[in-house]
Amino acid sequence: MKKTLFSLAMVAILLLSACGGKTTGNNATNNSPVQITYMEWGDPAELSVWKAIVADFEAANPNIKVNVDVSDWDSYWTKLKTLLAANTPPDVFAMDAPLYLDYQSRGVLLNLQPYIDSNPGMLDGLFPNTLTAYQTPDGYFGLPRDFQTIVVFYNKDMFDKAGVPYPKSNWTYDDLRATALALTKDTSGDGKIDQFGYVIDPWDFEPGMSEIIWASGGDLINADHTKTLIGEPNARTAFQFLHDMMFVDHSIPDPNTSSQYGGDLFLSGNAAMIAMGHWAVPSYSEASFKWDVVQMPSGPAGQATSVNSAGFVVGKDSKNPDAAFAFIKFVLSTAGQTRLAEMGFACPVLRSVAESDAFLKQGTSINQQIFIDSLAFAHMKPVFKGYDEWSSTIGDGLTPMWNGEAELNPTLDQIVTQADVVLANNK
Amino acid sequence: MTKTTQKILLDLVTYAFLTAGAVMMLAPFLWMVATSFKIPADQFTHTLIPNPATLDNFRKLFSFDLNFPRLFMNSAIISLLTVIGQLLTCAMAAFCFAVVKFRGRNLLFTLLLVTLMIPEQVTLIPNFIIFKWLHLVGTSVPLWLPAFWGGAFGTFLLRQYFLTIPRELVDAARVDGASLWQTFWRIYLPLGKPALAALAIFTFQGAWNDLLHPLVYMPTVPNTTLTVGLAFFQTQLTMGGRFTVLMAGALISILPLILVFFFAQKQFIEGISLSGLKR
Repeated sequence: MKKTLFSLAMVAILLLSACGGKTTGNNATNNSPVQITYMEWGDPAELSVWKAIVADFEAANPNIKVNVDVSDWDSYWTKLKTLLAANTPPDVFAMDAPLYLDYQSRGVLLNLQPYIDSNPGMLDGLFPNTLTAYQTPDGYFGLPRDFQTIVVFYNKDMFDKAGVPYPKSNWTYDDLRATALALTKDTSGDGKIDQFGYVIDPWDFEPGMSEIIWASGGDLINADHTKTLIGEPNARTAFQFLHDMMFVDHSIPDPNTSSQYGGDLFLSGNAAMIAMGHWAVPSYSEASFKWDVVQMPSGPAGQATSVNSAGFVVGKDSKNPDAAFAFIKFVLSTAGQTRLAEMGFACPVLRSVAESDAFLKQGTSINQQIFIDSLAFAHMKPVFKGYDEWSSTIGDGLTPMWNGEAELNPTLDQIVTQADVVLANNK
Repeated sequence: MTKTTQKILLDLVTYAFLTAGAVMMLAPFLWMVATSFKIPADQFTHTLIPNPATLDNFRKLFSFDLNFPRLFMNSAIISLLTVIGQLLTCAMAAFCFAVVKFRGRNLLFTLLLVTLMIPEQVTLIPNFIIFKWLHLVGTSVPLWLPAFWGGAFGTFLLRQYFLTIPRELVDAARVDGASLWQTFWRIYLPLGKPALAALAIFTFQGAWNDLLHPLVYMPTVPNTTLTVGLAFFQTQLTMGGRFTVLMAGALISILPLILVFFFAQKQFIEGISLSGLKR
């Protein structure tokens, strides 16, 4: 027994001395430059672009070192919540605009207003619609980094083969429906449709659903975020329209069918059109067919699309808020935004860069201008506290309907009741 | 019906069930192996023989800006240290609970079992704060160090096994003048091989597959574990419909698990043949 204890004690001492070594190591870095961490979601290609931006930044600010920490979307939020709960947030981290107020209202973000005030004119060149999401009565607790408008991507080869003219910028939802129907086919002749006209995300509002609701004169939620409006008559018409395309025309695949193609039917060459944001451009660039983009169609209430932005926020407990803000300021400058534009995942928020060749002529032959022009009729993706819970309540609620297991109208009634409870709980 | 036909029938039913179970377990695995050698266009075809077969998925995987050998080494070191820590401390604790008589033994053992009820998620943040305070966040130490604190599951598993080892062996050892430590090291550890091998498999698998802890504690790619590295690519590959590459990654990531299993399986058999006691 004594010997067991002795060995345990030895192990403990060894481990403690190992920890001790680490501690001194950290203290020894006091004289070196200020270190900040920038954490974001993304994939390997984005990581390499951010490394380039950081290299530019460090060259201009030799006394600041930036560690970039990139995880995939799901892991990012898990990691971020743990770091925040442990009171050790990253200095700068990426934020999705709809989730921004969830974090801001919990008091974990630093108010950037004093920094913005001491940099007059800093926000002048940014697209105003992208800034709105980050405004609070107390000022900005975050700033947009890039934005996404939803457009329709279409497979040119598929249109050519079927002899269908390409969609025009002033097209309507009726045109979309007719075009989609003309491109829905059973190419293998086995009695099952294997080429679909149009694809939307049946779970997320952003690509496909919110646009048609707005174009039909409906809305998702009221202005003070207390009532869900997707059950109102105009929104209902919009849902009915998509429902008919899915279950009458079969030009939109239902989720069960989509899953057989393993995700993205447009990229696999099984769909002619898809509602998507600029984030899809890099992966679609690898497609074996020619494609381009066009504005979302217009409905009875005119043309409408959705705009959303990813932004930066600074942790309230950041030890180096000045360095953190310097980094944000750099990314929002012409140099930083140009790099981001070259990355090709999103549209720059700085107007001069969005309208420059850096963005408009980035390797792909598509009409990048469409993403910028869409801003003119874009509605902001809703931003409010509790957005995450609210949108998943609706997404989960719609699932049985898209799966063909539930009727449209009772489903919507039920969702509105549930979603309003979520809103009330988050007030 | 004679006894033999009855037995054959019973065997038939048993094997039918076992085969069905084995097919259920193996099918996803075989699908993964097959898909990793298919071309992207064939990724959803219902065939287990890739035609045409290709190594492109593996080439694509290694072409990523991701240091695979390093991720592999990180995962391997963390998993091995975790296994060593668990085997050592759990075996010592289990030995005490099974063999040594002391006051409050049952109470302590019950308390230990109660900790099995605490979900990992609950202790994640307190543990994180402790390691932050020790300045160990950003290193791999928080991933394997807790394995040296023992663990309820391993202690329970080994204690139950140690209880099946005849007490006579302890008495005989004591007569020969063996100390408690010698009894543990020379009798219980060798005889406990099958249980230790089982625990080694569980622990290795758990550590190797762990995504949450490396994600939270370690810096991001490239200096992280294989699971985090693969998760990093997952979104890109599933969004882009590249399941073939994803499966190639999955196949590579489970190879060590298969190796560990075969190695440990040998211990199962050896352990059983050694533990016989002449009465």
